[in-house]
Amino acid sequence: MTATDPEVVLGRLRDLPVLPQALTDLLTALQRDDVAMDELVDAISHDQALVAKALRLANSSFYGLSGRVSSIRGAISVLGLRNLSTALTAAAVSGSFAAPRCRGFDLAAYWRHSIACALCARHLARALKLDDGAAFTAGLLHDLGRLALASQSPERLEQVYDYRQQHDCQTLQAEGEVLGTDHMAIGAVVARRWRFGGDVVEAIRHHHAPVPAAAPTLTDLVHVSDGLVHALDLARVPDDMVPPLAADAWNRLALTQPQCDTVLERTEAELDELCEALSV
Amino acid sequence: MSHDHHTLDRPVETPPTQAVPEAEQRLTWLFRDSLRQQLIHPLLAVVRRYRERSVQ
Repeated sequence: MTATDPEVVLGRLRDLPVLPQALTDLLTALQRDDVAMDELVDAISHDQALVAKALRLANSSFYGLSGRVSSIRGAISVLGLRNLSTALTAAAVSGSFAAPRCRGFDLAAYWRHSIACALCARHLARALKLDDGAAFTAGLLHDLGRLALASQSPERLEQVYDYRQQHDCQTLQAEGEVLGTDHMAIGAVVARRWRFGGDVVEAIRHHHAPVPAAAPTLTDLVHVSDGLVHALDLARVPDDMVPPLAADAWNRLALTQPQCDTVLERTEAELDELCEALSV
Repeated sequence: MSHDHHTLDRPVETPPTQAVPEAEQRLTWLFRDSLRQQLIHPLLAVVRRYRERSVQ
């Protein structure tokens, strides 16, 4: 099998949704240590749709304060800067793609799984004292390639599903056989185009096969989170399967059962509220 | 219950107990082979322990 350029498979790259400029400005500003509150308020205020999303999230039961926040400054106070950026990223990305017309692709199940993975990755990161914001974003976007495929090249993804059905194999293998690439490589192309950080792009690119490392990586977190939420069956997909686990990644995280219990409990407890807050 | 990390000191996919069939029957075979060897995916084992604790 010859490897195929993901951009060739994706085809109409220029037709990919773009993230709101205000969100890009906000994420860029948040990377600086000296960013001022007024600058952040300005960045968000330029986009009324983003303002509405920020207020909706700040007033959602997920963040615990119902109906009290009416300004962006207030939303930043309630959510915190890091929560605000991850929440707005989730809102912007989930609102970027129209429902794909692709046989076999369930958009609601896609978002439910992605949000569950984001929550699980965030709680794992907190348990291990790693970057929980990056973990949330990478977990949310880990299967972005499948969404992009369903949206941009639905007939190709349908061929993948047909191959999987005919050959009784994992979807990842079917992608390789049919497309000559896979959703990890495609997702990385999209995430890079959207200017997400290199560690997030790397986690998307390798989340089914983490590369060797001396210490736990963001990719390890997403790899294990993906498997855990599949095992929890949170997407409610009848033929859901738990992907193979990379022993090296699992061993690097060195999780204990009590840590896993806490992470799984919090992930399950928060999933419905966050899905509702994001309207997915 | 041990609170230690469950280290995986062997590959997750164990050697087959019989020849791997053609692709058309592979998943069914894997499922039956897992049952025969009383294997379970490590993360399913983690979730099972979590569920058992939740109902206590």
